[in-house]
Amino acid sequence: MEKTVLIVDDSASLRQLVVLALKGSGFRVVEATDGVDGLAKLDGGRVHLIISDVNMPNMDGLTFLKEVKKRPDTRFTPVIMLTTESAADKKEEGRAAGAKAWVVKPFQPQQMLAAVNKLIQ
Amino acid sequence: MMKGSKEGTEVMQAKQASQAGSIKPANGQGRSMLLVVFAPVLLAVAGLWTLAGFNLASASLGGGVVVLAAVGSWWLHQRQLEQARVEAEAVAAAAPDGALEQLVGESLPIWSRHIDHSNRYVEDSVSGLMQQFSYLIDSLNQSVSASSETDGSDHVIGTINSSQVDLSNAVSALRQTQQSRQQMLEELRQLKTFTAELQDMAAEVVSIADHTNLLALNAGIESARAGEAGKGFSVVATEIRGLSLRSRETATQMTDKVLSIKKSIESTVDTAEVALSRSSEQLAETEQSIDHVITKSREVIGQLQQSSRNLRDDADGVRRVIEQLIVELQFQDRVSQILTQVSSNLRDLEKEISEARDADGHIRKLDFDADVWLAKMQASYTMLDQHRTHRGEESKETSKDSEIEFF
Repeated sequence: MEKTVLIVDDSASLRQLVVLALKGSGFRVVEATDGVDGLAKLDGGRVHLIISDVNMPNMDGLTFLKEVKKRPDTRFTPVIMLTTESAADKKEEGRAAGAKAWVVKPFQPQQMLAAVNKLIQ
Repeated sequence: MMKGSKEGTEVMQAKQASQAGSIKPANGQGRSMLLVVFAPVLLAVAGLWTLAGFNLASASLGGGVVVLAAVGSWWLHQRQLEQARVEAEAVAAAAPDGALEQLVGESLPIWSRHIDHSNRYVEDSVSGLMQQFSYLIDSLNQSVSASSETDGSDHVIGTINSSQVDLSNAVSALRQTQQSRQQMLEELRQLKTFTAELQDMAAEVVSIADHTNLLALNAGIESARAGEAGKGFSVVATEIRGLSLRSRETATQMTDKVLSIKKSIESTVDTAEVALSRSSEQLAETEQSIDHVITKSREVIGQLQQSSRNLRDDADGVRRVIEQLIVELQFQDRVSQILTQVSSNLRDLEKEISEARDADGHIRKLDFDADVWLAKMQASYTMLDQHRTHRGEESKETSKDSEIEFF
């Protein structure tokens, strides 16, 4: 069965890069431009994994993560934070909020694919 | 960029004009000061002229002139003071104390717009590049996949191997047929030898018939010599003689037939030998042609496979380069974050300045703690690069490997 990955990032080029990294391996990738858009595209828990930026307009990634973890249908959906943010306190905030991995940009598509495969199982 | 420069120039020109205006009141004040100095001098000249002892009429005229001069100079002085006051107010309006703050306050939103515009421009361009690169990678993948499928070298080689086996079987069947023909030819040659024997046997029969005839003739002579007693024997001798003649005739016919058969066999053998020889040559040529075709086919397939491998290798190489380019394009995200941060800081500063605007719209001198402001700015950074740049340090090259931490 085709797995669905939601990428939430305000940068169109970064979203395209994630799409490029995953679509060749049979993933269906849904794109959202910020946290608010991301919440609207959770599709009632039919998303198998979420990749989210941290610094975004309207709703930042950590707030989005906390919202995702509040919802019963997405509580157990693994979330990868993909960000330029390397500050330890932000990382700790992400971990405490329930993120499964913290990826600092720039990222290698193969490594992202490996991380997605590892977490989606 | 040109537009921004023009706008900036306009702002600067406006400010220069304002500064030029600020020089005017200084000149106006200078003229007032000259009049103030000039009036007492005029009075002193008039007084000296009177004291010099001119006549009354002249003295009265001189007094009038002095009064008029004094009134005139006072009036001029008052007029100049009024002008100076009006000009000073104009100057105060044009060049308040916070002139720099005003310039910065008006420039900040322009700078922010430039930064936002550049940011969007880079984002759109990089996004477009990313789409093009994605398309290229898809096309390369499809080409490689199609090349692998159409090349179908495994399938073609399988077909060639199968065809080679089929052709070898056909050639073997032809060779067996050839061997059968060879055996048949041998048997015909054997028949030829039998006909020779038959000819000898027929000649022997003729010889026996001649001897028998001669014996019968002698027996007839002897039976005649025996007279009446030999009459019966004479009949037998006559019959034997008749039989010997018939035997000879049959043997002669046999010899003719055997000769005819022998000729037919010889002709068949000759024809079969020619046909066998020709078919052997054809079989050898066919085998050679089949070997040649198979060898050529294998060579062509080998070249095709090599070309396909080269194409796939090249495509893989190009794909890897494009993928690396796409990874490198992530710089845009970092640049965007930095520019967004700078734009945000500019807007904060603009807000701070606009709050310092008084009821008349003039901006007073700002009084805030620059260190606190810079610390706040620094706290908003998300990347190490930003901190380094803030401190004026050289930015280090970013690692190409993803930094992934699993929780």
